[in-house]
Amino acid sequence: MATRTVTIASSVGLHARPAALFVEAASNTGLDVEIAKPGEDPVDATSILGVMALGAKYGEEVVLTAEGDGADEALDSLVALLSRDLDAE
Amino acid sequence: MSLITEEQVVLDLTGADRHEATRLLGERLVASGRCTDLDTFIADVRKREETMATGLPGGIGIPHARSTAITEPSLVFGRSANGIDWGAKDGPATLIFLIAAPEGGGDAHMQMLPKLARALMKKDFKAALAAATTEAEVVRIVSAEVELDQPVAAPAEGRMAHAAEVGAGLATGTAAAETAPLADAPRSLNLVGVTSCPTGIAHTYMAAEGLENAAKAAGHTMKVETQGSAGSKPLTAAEIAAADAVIFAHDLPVKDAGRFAGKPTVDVGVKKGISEAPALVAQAEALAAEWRNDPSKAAAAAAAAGGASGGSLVSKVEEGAGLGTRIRQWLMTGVSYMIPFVAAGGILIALSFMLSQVALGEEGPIEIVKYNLTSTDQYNIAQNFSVTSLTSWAALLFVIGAASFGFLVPILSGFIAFAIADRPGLVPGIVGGSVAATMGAGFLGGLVTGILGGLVARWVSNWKVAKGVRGIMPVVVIPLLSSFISIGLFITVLGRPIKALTDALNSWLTGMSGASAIILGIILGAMMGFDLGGPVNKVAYAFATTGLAAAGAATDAPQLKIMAAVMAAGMVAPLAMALATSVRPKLFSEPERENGKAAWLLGASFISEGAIPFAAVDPVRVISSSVVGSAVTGALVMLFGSTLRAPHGGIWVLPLIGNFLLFLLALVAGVLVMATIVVALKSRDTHLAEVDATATV
Repeated sequence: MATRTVTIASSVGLHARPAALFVEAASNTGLDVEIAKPGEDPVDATSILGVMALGAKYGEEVVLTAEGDGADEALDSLVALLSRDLDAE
Repeated sequence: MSLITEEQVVLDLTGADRHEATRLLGERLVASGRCTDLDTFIADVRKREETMATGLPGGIGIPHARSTAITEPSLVFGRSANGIDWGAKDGPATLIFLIAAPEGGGDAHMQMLPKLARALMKKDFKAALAAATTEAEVVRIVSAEVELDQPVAAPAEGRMAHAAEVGAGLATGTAAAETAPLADAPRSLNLVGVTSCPTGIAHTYMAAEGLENAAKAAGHTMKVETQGSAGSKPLTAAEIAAADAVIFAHDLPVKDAGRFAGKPTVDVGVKKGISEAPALVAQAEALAAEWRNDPSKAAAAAAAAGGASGGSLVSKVEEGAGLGTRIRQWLMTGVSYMIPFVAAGGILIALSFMLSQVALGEEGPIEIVKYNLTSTDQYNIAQNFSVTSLTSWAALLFVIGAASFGFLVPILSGFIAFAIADRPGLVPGIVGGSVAATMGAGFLGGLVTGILGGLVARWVSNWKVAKGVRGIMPVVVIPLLSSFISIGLFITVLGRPIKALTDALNSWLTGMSGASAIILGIILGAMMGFDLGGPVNKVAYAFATTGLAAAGAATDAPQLKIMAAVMAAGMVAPLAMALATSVRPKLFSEPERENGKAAWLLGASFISEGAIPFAAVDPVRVISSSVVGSAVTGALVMLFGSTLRAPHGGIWVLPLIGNFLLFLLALVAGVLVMATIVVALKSRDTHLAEVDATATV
């Protein structure tokens, strides 16, 4: 089980557009990726509703977990994605 | 003020495409007086819609925008019997929510989306909307799920600083007012915490101090249980019961985590406890507030943790890791239990040598190693100890240190087996390790007896046995059979080749001089600098500390040089970053400069992790320069032949380092090299970085 903690860099938070990009990237890994706010129940990172329901705001931390081959690499790329201001792109 | 009114519901939404439908929904906002300019608002929605369609799987569309034409955060609901294509892959949208927020109301916007999404994940929410027959019904269904002033969610929003800015004049104003007594009058909380780190030497205690200070600064009281190698003074049950929230800053599993069941818990790695203690305390505050308002959370957490209780010994093995990772975790568990023995024995022996040189001159260390506890001549320190003789004191320290070193291989082997098979692994592991040491198979032998003993013990303990035998399995059968099988195999088959390998390794290390020693120094140094406390760094560190075990009490073993090289190299990165932030502050952000100050102390204490905050922000430049600088230091230490027999300590064990002036020289050289490179790379790339940022967009 690989785990990463990352701070949301998108200036308006992990909402519709950044969330959609993130979900697409998470789905492309082909792994079971979950995302959670620290201390809360994780949600499926490949579900747009789940990710939006998380309501992660700018500057808040989220915890990503994944299992399976290449989980570390997959999470690293997702961390890199969340570390960018997707909303400004 | 509500987000949605009956005017803002369209039960039979039509429209050729989503833009037309959006316009129809937008008109309702004009009708309810919340939109001052329909064209501006529609243009804003359309802009958002063009960057990415807002259709979601399951027949949902959520067009949304912040707009200057909007006066308050609003929702408009539209239902389409035939569906309107909203860009989702799985088909047209039948339930459409138009979300409108005033310009600058980014936070209100962000409060609506998650709640709406959460509601949409519930089947009955969608079913109720699909079945609703009147506008009032829709308003009731939606309002129940998506309101800005829900009491449970309000404190969470209230703690965000910018929520307050949005508050005035908006719907959140209600929420802010309601929660003001909670948010504005922070109670003094009782916090408890647990800290731990793999070596249990430095981070555990630094994190504890960081958390306690941060809690004090925030006006709370906090007590931290340090689960380090110094042993821990456990929190009392009363202290835990009185706690409002718990902070775990740990790299090893929390011992007896079941004690904290049902408490709001902030759970992070130990580094956060050092670098971000105030943020953790703030998180704990927020959680405590949330839990006060929602008692069901405590019950749920208690139920989830039910039955979870830890033993008093911990291994570093995670469930479900790959084989390679698991082998590494087995070995690291063994190493982490061995390190305190290395530290105690190594420092005692080093002190003994220092004293013996004072008492007996140059040849002191050679004379002192003759002392023991069993001989019948004057070297039996138990019979010939004299309080006034410096030599006696030196001999006493030596004998105790040597006894501690005698446990290195058995403990290593025993806890590798423990990591594999849990408690049943201890007997075959420890006894096997002792056999390996006696046979002269060294720590390589210990690795083999540990893994073998662990695997056999796990195998035997998984046997399905008759009920009558089950009771005596853990006390008699498993230790007996697993020891006999694994150690018997080791003595008759595996032991001799491994002893030959150990001898070869030792003679290679002993014979290593000049170029090959320097190359080893470069490799180990580069490994130490590569991931700053990560797996590669730990492999080099484990190589050095297990080497100490092989070196035993020898005065000038090559393994002692390796330990010195590894420690010096591990000190380079944080010190160099500290230096770089003080000579070129402009290249670093404010938090980085603050970090730089702490990095002096971390580096001086041989805590490579001190450079992680810098590497996290700018991995390529920091790590590439760290690898070079650390390799330089590693090579120079091997060249100078400084020695060290303590496994940790940084400059605090300087008096124990052989040739410590040259050790310092090598360290300074590496720090200067790395600081120069990192400053050069950062200066060259400062303007490039900006170009980069826009180019990757």
